[in-house]
Amino acid sequence: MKITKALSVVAAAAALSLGLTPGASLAQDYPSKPITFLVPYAAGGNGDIVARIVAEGLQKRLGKPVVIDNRPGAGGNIGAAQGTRAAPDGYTIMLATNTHAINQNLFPDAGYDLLTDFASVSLLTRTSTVLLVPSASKAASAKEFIDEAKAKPGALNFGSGGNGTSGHAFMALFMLKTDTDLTHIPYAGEAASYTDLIAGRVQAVFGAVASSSEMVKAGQLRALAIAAPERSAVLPDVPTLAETGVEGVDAYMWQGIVVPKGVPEDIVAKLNTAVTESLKDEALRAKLTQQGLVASPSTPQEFHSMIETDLGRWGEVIKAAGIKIN
Amino acid sequence: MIRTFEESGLPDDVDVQPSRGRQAPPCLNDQAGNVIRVRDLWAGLLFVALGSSAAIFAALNYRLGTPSSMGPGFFPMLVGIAVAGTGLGVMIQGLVSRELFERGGGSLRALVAVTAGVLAFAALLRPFGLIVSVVILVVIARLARPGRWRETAVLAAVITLLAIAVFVFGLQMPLKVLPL
Amino acid sequence: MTDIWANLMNGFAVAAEPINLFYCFVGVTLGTLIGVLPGVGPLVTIAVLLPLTFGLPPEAAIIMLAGIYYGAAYGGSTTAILVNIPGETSSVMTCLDGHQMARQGRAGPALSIAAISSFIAGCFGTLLIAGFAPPLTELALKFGPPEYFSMILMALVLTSVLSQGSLWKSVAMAFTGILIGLVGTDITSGVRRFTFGVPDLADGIDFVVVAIGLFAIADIVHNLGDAENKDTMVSKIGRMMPSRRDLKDSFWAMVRGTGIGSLLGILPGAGQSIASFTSYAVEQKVNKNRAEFGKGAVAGVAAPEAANNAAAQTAFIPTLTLGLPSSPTMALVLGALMIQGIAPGPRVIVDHPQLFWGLIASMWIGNLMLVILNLPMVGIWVRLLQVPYKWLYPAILMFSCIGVYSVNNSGLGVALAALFGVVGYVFIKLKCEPAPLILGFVLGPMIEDNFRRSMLLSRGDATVFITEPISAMFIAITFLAIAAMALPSLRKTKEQAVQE
Repeated sequence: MKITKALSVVAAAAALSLGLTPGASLAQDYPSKPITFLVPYAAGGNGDIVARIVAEGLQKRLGKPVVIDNRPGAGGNIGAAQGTRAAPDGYTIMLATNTHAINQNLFPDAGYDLLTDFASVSLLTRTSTVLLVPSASKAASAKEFIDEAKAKPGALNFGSGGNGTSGHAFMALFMLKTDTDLTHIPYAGEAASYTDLIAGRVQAVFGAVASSSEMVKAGQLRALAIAAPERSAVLPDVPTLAETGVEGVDAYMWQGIVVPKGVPEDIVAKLNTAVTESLKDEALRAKLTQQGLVASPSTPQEFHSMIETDLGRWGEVIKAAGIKIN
Repeated sequence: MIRTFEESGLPDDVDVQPSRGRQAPPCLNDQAGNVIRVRDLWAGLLFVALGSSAAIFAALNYRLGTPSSMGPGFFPMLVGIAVAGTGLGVMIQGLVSRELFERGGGSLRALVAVTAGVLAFAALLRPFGLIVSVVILVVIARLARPGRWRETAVLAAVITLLAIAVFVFGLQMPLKVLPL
Repeated sequence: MTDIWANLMNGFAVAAEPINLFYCFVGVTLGTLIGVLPGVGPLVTIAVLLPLTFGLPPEAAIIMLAGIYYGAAYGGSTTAILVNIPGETSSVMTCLDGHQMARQGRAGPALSIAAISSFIAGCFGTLLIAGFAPPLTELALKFGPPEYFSMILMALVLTSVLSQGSLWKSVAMAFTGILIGLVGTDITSGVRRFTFGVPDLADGIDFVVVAIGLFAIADIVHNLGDAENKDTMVSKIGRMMPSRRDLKDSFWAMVRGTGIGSLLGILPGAGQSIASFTSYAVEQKVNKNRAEFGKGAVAGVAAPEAANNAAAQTAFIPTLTLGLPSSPTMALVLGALMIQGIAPGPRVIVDHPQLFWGLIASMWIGNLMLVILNLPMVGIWVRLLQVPYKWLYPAILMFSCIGVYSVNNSGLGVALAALFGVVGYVFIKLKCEPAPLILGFVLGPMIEDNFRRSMLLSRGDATVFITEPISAMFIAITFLAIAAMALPSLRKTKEQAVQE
């Protein structure tokens, strides 16, 4: 880390001596070189596919290549920490997701702060989480499920993709709001938890709509409720938790673009315009929809306050539910 | 005469040609008093040191829990103890069989050169790009068995071109090629 | 049965369309070439090539990606045999006898046998998918955490005596491997273990890092330092094609490997590597040439290669029927499907018969292409061994370094590989074989993970492992294996003692 920092100082000095002062004067001709799109997830993962689809659109509108740089690891923490060290010149943009908002609360040493280390550019996509039970489950609705869970505290299991993943966080929020108690069974990734859910070894999972909708449609899993403010277009018949009477479990999973703090505002504006226009493209929207994602561009301010809300929400859940790493 | 790899190539080379390998270990020539040169004593010691430090580290730093509800420290501690325990077995076996280190062989030069080359590559690739890091990797690694400088230069050029052709053009990997 | 036949014919019609044939060919060729590069796996390749498939029709896209996937498995065995570098967990076993054969100048037969057994196993796996995908899916669902635990325990015990050397040492190495595998975030608790504050270690150490270090780098140092006057890796090169005897010797190994691989491949998560480990271990116990294992037995190449490729095919079963990826690579294939607008899941077979049966037929055609492509290539690959070593090793180092880098796009991985290189060299000097370490590394964390998950599910009741029938069966085999192992080795120790 130190070496990288030292090197970037050297690089900055070199840039200065060449008369390339970073700053406002560059905004008109931005971008004059390829832009690095830092993706803190592995190539081919969910976040990566969003980034690749959007990068295509950005490239068209900005006229310079947008190069994906995958820096996976530690649930997105490594890439994000790397993002804080990038030069704030607009040539490094980063994919931020709701996992960052959870991780930042969960790991005191996450190495970044979404609000102070980054400036928001725009929200890209959001998707919903759904409460899933095996098709053999007796519970036909969220209410019945809650009753069942209340009848025998601690007896039901819920699966998740691991300790501190969003599936875990959503269930923690759910248990908090419904005053229920289920036993957490962490798996190595969401997919592994589905196998045991289908087989009935765990009785519930909060899963992404995108990854579970087909199993629901085929009747292997039952979707009880959507944990978001609105119903999902992929599973239009499934009510939201609010509709079933459970308030407060209504968070989105989201992906957005941030830049290191200090990027000139007109560059942020330029990027925001490019994102907004890209996401209007029908073909591009269709590709996102196929991923179960809803294209939802925003202003930098809207995105910023959304991050703020989410950070607060998950911070509370993690504290109240006593989720900790031990 | 060209000695073939069978003689000393692999970790399991002992068994390739048993007639030359295990049957007549050089160790039988020098007998007792050479405990310090018993190979498996050191191998066992390595396992004992590794296993016990891992077990102690795990026990001190992570919650242990109980066998029916294990904490994160339980299994690592168990495995650490197992490594140390089997390490003891290796030591005892070594003392019984008394196989000594083979004389000669081994080159610190090769070890240092190859390792340093790889480390240099690791440090240089991100900041300085593919060309610089591959050239330096080849130049340093070649010090393991020095040849003529001209040969090294040609080799470095060829391997760098190969790297660019395969990874940058072929696989389209997002690698920085030039330092800037 | 007639249904399957009709479906398969339908599939062949799709796969034989020129565009699909072309992309199948592109896929397997690319896959082979990539698989040959040490450390560069199908995962990275598919990830990189994913955007290329956006513009293709869905059948062509998935056929090409699948081709890359099993083509890379083919290519991986080439590297394992020629230069003793396993590119993925499932080719560790191929290294053992394959590379010994290469050193004895029998690289040609080794490569050909690998290709032939892969082909036969691949064909059989394809038939299984075609005929029995739904019931096999049911079987996969029967495997819960207790079953996984017992099965993996069995695999580890069966294979822990792989090496020809000291039993104590190989068990110690296996445990050491488990210890290394524990580095990273503990799934159950989320605690980062043995990461010493380095965030890059949070996801653990990648297999490629360990394999490149212990095999590639350590081997290079050993070759350079300990054997003077050596110009090329192999002094003589014998025949290219396997002899009648080679074929005869490897036939049953192929059959058993195919069986084991087909069954274990169905299990999401662990199937492929466990299949190749187990089939080698089984062969080592039952093959009539078992005494030659580890010294260049042709059956020691045939069995794991067959198992590996059969498993690579049947791994598509859970991926396609459940929509659940059985490996990170499969996750990418699923991602590609989704981008094509096809939601993978239980309904794929019914909703997209063209795609499903086309893919299956293309896998058969692809396997045939691989054999046709690879058998003539054997001659070329073997020539590589005649490149002067002083030129070859810097190139191997370059490919290895970039391969390791590509795993996480991080220099730290490369530095770690260097560290494992030093460790590996020390192990060579101490005559400790790396294969058991790799087994422990791959299987150990799964054992812990599934044990703890079982105990969570059973609320702390350890009897689940014997009350669940499938699990009980594995536990019984494990105990039998231990007993069978302990008796002769006790006898052997006695004999040795008497001799000395």
